[in-house]
Amino acid sequence: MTWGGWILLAVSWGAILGLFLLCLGRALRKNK
Amino acid sequence: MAERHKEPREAWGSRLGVILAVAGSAIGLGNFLRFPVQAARNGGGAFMVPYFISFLLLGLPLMWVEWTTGRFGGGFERGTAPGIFETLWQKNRFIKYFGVIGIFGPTVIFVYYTYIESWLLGYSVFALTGKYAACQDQASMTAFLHAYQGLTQNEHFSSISTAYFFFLITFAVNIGVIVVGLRAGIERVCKLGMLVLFVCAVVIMIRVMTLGTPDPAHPEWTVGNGFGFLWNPQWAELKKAKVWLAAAGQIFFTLSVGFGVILTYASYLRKQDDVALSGLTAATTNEIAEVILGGSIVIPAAYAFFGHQGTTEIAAGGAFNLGFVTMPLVLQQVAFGGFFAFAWFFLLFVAGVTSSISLALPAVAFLEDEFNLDRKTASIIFAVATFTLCQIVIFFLGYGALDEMDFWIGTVSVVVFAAIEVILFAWVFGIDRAWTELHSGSDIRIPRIYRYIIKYVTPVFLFLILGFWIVQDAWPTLLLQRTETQKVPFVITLRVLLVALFAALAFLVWLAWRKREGRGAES
Repeated sequence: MTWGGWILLAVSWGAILGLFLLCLGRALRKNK
Repeated sequence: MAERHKEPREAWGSRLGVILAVAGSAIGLGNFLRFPVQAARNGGGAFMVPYFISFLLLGLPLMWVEWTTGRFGGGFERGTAPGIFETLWQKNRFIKYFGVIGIFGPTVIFVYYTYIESWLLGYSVFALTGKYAACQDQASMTAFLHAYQGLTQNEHFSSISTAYFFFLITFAVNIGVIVVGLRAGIERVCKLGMLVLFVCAVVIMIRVMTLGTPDPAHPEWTVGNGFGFLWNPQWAELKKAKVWLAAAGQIFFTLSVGFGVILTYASYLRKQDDVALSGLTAATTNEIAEVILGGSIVIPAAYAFFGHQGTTEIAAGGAFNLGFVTMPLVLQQVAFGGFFAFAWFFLLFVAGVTSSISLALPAVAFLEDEFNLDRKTASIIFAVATFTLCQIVIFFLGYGALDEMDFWIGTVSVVVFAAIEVILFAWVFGIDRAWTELHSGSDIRIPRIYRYIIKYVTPVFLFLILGFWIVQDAWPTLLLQRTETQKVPFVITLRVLLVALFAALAFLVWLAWRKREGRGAES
């Protein structure tokens, strides 16, 4: 895999995981 | 018919329940099969640029539109598009008929999706019993699949009876979940189903990532290079319109927007329930399943066993081949392959069930809301109608029934429906009221730029997609230019049937409104 591939993979995974954890954390705080 | 006294509509039991139900609806076969094929064919890592742009400009806005309008309509006890559209544009007498697409589309997709889902249940069992163990190459595995589908007969299957048996189980499971109800059925199944799905997917992903270099004769056939096949960017591809269309199309498929199912799910929210954060959470859950899990299984595994040339050919063969032919072949070559193959097919089956129950709900909710039927009666009517239609897909699979339905409903009508939704929301209902409604009970503030995106960018994006599809695909498909000659009479008959189904649903809408007006006059 090229550097460009690694960077795109890391950025994509990081953005999705980060946003997901942020959203899930906030949503679960008010999970009524 | 068994009319009931008007009872309060059901409501979700918890926020996590509705988030997982919407995520379950969105996470389907497309996440694990379609996404990696699309990315590999359309620029590799560079595909992620139009993909994320489409997610931000198309997927997220439509997600919020559907969550908000669904909850708004639910406040008037209207849970499907005809009624919800009318609550948004009360003065227009015809808008309810545009809403028919939001019942027609999910119902038709349910018809063929349930059958595909049943193959996955069948293959889960075959993986454990070793039924396809003798198939050691692409050709024999393809022959196994075709015989199972009843397209041919061979030593594995002499008739379609096995496939029909698994179809009956799958159909019964779907209807059973719907009959049990929102909280006890759909919500519980989606919570458990999502857990099973993610566990199975992570187990397979770890197995694929630890494959290393399975064939010492080909040291370059590694999982790492498999990831490179999917992620190495080919920037020049971004100049092609087809790459951008593929990305936008994938966002539609993956988020289940434009179908009408999220409208119905959201209609069971309470007035002050949050939609902005819940919609965003459901969308990001889907992205985890697609980009992280879906992107790390089939392509890297195929590359490790078949190399660059083999994977290119497999990707060109389409998503179905990858799922039903390549993956079982790959997993046969690893230790405890039967177990991993079971996990693979069962995760896809679970992903299918959580999607298909959401496809069934709009029609059932329509009968409940507009004809005042109880859940059981509405479900039985739906089951009888769709079971009959399923026979066409099962027994005429070789005539292109599935492809024809998938193009018109799964590709074209979702974009048309999404365009109607967003215009109603931002232009007819009005962006100011819409923005206030979206933030009612909200736990987050959506960036203000989304007011402009929802009002201007998303509709323009949708019309561009529609325009390109009409020019590239719709016209030649409509004129049957790409249909094999012997299939033409069948395809025409199928189209007549689809139009008749749409007309029947439109008639039911007319009838329901007449009854409603009658009740209004009496009271």
